[in-house]
Amino acid sequence: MRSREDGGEPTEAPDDVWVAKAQKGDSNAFGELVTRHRRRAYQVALGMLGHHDTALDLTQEAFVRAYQSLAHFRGEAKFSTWLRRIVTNVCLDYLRKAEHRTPTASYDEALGVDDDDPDGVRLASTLESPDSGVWRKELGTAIVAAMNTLTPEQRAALVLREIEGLSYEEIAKTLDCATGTVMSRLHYARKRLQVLLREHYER
Amino acid sequence: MNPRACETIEPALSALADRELFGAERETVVGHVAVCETCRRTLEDYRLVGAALREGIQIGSERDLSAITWPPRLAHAPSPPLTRWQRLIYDVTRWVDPWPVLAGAAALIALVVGVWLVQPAPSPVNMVEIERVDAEGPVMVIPGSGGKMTIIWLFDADDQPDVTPTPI
Ligand SMILES: [Zn+2]
Repeated sequence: MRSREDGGEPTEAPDDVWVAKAQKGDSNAFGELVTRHRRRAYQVALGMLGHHDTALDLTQEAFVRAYQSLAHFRGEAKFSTWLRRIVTNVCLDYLRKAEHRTPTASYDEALGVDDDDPDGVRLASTLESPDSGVWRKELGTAIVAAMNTLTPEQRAALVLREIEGLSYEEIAKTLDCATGTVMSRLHYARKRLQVLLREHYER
Repeated sequence: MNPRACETIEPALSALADRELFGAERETVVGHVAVCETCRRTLEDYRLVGAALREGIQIGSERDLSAITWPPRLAHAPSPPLTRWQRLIYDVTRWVDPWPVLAGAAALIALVVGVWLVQPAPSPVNMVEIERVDAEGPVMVIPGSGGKMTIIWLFDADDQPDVTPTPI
């Protein structure tokens, strides 16, 4: 049986059928959900972390947590919505812990940057696909470095808006905050990126 | 344009770009942007940054994600952030097949135990020497009648205890 990968309408049973099976202890059913949703989940993690290996690990970690709390999933929201919340929280936890360790070193370490690579060049190369001629590497480098200067909460809001295309209300629910907070986080995040990336947009 | 006006409008530009501004507030901001080159540039910058971010993530996520799997390679992935050593152990256990490693460890333990077992038995004290023989094993136990037992304890001839055996 071929399983579909993430996004779009499933060709076979909808998510809730697999969720119900997984809740009864069918590990293969949960495997189907992982295959379906891992790309979307990974995109959120990559956006928040800017580093491939860490994003891979934390996406896996999010699925572990989802499986462990599957009994609490009552189907009021879509599985993808519920999972997105878990992924976001796993990444936020990670970034907050990284922040509380020795400021610069841990932050770089958490994001996989070498000490002699303070500008996060390696981070940008993770955004760059090996066979991509399209992606402008220099801009990618600058974006990731600029993202690294945002607070975890600002990053989360920006990723949920730009990558996931959520409304402010949906972002507020995902991050457990008010819509006004979402608005101001996005404002400060974009303002900062605009200043840091200004030179890359020559007009 | 009056910079004071831009200052009051600016915090709402991001929400305008996201179509999350409504009613009178939206009217005010739209009215300002229509006549303000600076704020239009800001909106354009926001758009470009968003597009570049989406493009980067899109391209970045085209890589192979089969490492994200179920069941996970490690039943309980350690909670990040990891120390360098935890990271190393985690990576090794994630990417290295554990069975050859476990088999190697088992072989090593078997070897150590084996060497210990085939070591010559310690020489008994206060023994009585009956006869010297060549034998494979260090101890022979021969059950006799009435619950009696004969134990023959073998040891190397050059591993004699200080106590001189008493020949019968
Ligand atoms: Zn203006």
